[in-house]
Amino acid sequence: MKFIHDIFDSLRPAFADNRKLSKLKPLFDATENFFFSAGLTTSTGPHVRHSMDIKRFMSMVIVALIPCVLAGFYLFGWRIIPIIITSYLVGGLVEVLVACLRKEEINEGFLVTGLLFPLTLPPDTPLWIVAIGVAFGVFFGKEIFGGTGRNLFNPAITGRCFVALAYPTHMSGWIEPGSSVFGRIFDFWPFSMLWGATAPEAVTSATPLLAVKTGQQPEWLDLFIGNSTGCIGETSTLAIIIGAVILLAFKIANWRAMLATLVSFFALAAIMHYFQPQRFASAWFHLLAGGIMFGAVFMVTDPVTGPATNIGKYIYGTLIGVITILIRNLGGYAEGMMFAILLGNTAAPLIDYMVIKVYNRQFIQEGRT
Amino acid sequence: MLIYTQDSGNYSLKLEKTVDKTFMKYKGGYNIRLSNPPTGNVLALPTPEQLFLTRHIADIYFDELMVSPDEKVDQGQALARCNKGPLNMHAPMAGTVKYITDNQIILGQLNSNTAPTKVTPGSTQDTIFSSGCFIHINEVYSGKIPAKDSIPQAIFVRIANLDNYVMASEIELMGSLQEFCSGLKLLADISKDTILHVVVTKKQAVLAKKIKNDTADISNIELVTIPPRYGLDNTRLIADRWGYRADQHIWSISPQGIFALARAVNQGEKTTYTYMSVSGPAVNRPQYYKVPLGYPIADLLKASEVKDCPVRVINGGVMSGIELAADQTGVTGDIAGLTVLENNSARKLLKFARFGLDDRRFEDFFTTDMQGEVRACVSCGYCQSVCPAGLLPDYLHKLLYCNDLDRAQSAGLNKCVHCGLCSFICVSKIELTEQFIKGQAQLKAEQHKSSEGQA
Ligand code: SF4
Ligand code: SF4
Repeated sequence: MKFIHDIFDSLRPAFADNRKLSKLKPLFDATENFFFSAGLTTSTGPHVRHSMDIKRFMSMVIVALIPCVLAGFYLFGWRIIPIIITSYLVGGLVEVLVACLRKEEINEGFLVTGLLFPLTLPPDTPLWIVAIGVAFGVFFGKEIFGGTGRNLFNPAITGRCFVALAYPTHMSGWIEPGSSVFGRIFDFWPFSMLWGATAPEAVTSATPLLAVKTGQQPEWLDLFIGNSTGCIGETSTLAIIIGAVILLAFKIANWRAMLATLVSFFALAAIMHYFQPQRFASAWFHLLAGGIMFGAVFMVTDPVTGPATNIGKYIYGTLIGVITILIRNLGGYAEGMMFAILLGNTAAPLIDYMVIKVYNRQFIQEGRT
Repeated sequence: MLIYTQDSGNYSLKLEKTVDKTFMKYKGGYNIRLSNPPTGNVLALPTPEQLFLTRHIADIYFDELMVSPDEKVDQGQALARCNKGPLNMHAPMAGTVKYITDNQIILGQLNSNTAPTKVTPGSTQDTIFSSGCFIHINEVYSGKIPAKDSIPQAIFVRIANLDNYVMASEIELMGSLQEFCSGLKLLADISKDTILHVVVTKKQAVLAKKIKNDTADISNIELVTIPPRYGLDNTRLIADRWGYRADQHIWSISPQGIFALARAVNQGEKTTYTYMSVSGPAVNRPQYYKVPLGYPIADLLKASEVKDCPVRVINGGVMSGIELAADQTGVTGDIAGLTVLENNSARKLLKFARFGLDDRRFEDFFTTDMQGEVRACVSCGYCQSVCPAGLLPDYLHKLLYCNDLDRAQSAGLNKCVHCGLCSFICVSKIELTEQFIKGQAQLKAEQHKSSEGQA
């Protein structure tokens, strides 16, 4: 522990102003503060502060994502690892470059984005798509707004949306999960395949959401544990539920938006199914298939891009849930979660504005009496 | 429920715990365990070498001196006066005036065994001000000591005092419930139109019932119950909830003030001592004390065995308290407790990755450590969930950040009671409370300017 401290102490002068490496100061600071807490003391009241800081806050999200990563690894094999690494490397590079240019601190937000983004991709995605997507997401989804805390759109979803629209043919590399007890943990693919060659197991256009449109009904249990084709982190509802429990137990995510999304989604799906059971799949199916659970637990609850007010969160969640099921059932796309979240992000400031308007009116009236 | 015995100057008491000072509870479902809350008996301390009497109390300054250096004074003799009232500052003990500075009068060669000078009998209202009991009273909305002839519309008696580490009110009540109730009756006598709100927490129901029984014959005493959550015990919030307005005279008085009043009227005693606690993670012996006003803080800290590390001494609880210079300062009437924290800025390896639920293990982190770096607000909403005034601190922060005072005002900036919870909880470590205090001051200055402009 002491020797790490010494390393930083000996390196610090090299990053001082007017030295060669001064441009990389944010990188140095971030690395140092990653290892050692900042060690500042309070100057004004309150004299103590809660020990939850932004690093711990973001780390918790990563902890909550681990079950999904493990599930993805089990179902789709080791090839998800290079995808995650690429996402972190490229996303981190963009973040560091922008921070150095702006001479600001490196924000911890990209640690979450870097993991969220690959989990929303099909398992057989070429790495260059991953790189383009995460770079686009971090830069246009976040940095141009001023960094974590000021961004309008969820960076992971922004990147996902970009590659889905720009490279649709490369975004349908679905892989059938392994059928043995070991999933695909021991499966091997040639490395060349990471750069674009299609995996032998790849199946095209056969996610449950598409399948159900052609009349096939998958097994419930398969959907629940994730034994179906789909994006890396999305298929296993079980893993997502474990993540949700972690998020809620540590008070990282606000339950309001999560609940509103799922309830409104489920209710509308049930109503549609009730009136036209032939045309629309059942609500339970919709809940377990596709990205709704993953989105509701990890994307809708993103505090930055959602509304800040509690009432706003209900409205926001409801909006996303309703739009998702409408796109799924009536739109041309099989999955609507991505567009619904982006739409929700766009509406969030407006929702906040309206809620606060009403809220302020309350204050003003109170002031008069 | 309050059993006490008095032997040889030390009070030993058994009391049913009604406010649990080992946990800090606040809105939003937080329940944090604290180490070293004050416990046990109330200790009387030996006569000190010197008393440091502060010439500033709330908004008043005792500018007119009535003694000169080296003069011998009796207990209860007036030392200085301010023209508001006029109000006097009394000598808590007999002794000799040693120095007089702009801020303090320092007494030496103290003698605690002399006959005190008595209060001249008068109406209750007069006695409050002539006995020195006014140091325990302030106006809820302005924070000032009330004017001598102002008749309050309402008085809030703060039995519920929920800031962590400060004195549990039971300790104050230990004097005797009877005496407390007689004080209440005297206060209720000030005017038949003054309503006395006695603020208790739900858990203090037994106590509340006793008070209710003892004062059944007085019509203008009313009990107010609040949930046992820090922040909700703020008198201004309660007054707001009861529909009082900022331009009314609303008083707030601590149980100590009630006792002081009872003693002044019944026994003619002047207010010369106070009860307080010294506790916090950085003391080895958290303790309640009965001390004369002006008692040196340094002596108190020594008696409580402050740990051997850099410490910060705070007047009040950790949330809303103010840092105090321990040297050459004396106890004042508005101190309910001193909290001593380790002034720690050690850099810890991989601190954010520790295991465990924080709330239960928070005692390990209870120092003046900032706990993280300042970042942009991420709208996590924690601050909203804890704010006892029901504000949106993150929204206010954003408005003040771009200097939009008008909109901040309509978003309720003036309703902030500086409880400190939002800054405490903020994951981005933003100094919200400080920003709001500054914003309020700015608003006031602007209103002042515009009203001058009109005149
Ligand atoms: S805004 Fe902050 S300091 Fe003010 S009352 Fe709310 S929580 Fe307390
Ligand atoms: S607690 Fe801090 S980061 Fe969270 S919403 Fe409030 S001001 Fe923003």
